[in-house]
Amino acid sequence: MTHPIIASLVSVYPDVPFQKLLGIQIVEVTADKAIVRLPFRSELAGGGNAFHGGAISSLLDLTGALAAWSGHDPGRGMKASTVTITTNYIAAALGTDVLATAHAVKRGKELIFCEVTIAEVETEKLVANGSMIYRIV
Amino acid sequence: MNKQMMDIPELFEPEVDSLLSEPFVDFLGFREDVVNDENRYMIDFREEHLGNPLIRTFHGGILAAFGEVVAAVHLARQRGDAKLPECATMTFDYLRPAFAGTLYAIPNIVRAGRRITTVSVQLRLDGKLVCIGRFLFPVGKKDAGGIA
Repeated sequence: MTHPIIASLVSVYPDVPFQKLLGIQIVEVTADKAIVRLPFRSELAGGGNAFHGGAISSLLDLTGALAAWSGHDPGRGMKASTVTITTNYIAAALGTDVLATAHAVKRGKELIFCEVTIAEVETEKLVANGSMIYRIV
Repeated sequence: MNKQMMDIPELFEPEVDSLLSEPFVDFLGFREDVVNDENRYMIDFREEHLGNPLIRTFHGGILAAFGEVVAAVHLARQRGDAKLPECATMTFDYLRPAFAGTLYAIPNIVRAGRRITTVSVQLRLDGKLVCIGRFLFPVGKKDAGGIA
């Protein structure tokens, strides 16, 4: 069962100012797993009608962080930050919503290792994948 | 010309404007200034950039996005391209909290290969290094003028 503090954090996650600016929608959060949708908007486009790489890497970062929080024990600390992210841009997401799925694959004393994939919602075409390391102390 | 006058931002050159005119770049408020006769890529904190409201830091996503835009613009200029290159993969390390303020970026072409060019970008706040990223761009045979 999710700790109430974590449940509260998840509920306000879309309202974090930058995440609100992006317009993310939380689809699913279970222990060690998070799924977040990013609806397409013209402001998030780079060249042509595709999501800008920065929007994709932002989505990777915030979804990985959510997966890290999802199975976290608040008794171990609540101060957090991303340590590093790696994003591989595999294909362009052309004018369509994308879905990011993140798994926390290893929890250390402080560091949480997460893997993330991002795909188009309608076609399930892989858009990007990568990993991130999150630290909660 | 006194220092105060030199710090006043100058207008972009036309080709610079076109490289920085993507919707996402305008949306996030990246800009370029000329400070002490040097081009500087900068981002001024806005409330919507907030990632951690408790300690008032930039969101990690916007830092990575800023780094990627700077890497692409810098590489396009070095190559003389009118279009931004597409990044294939990037790694971005967060070294210190990026507190609300004005960040500036220092790009560097690490190696300009025949097929792939690696660009590193440092983000600094008040002179302190807060993030560093490495960005790989598949490019053609044209030499990008690297230092390798």
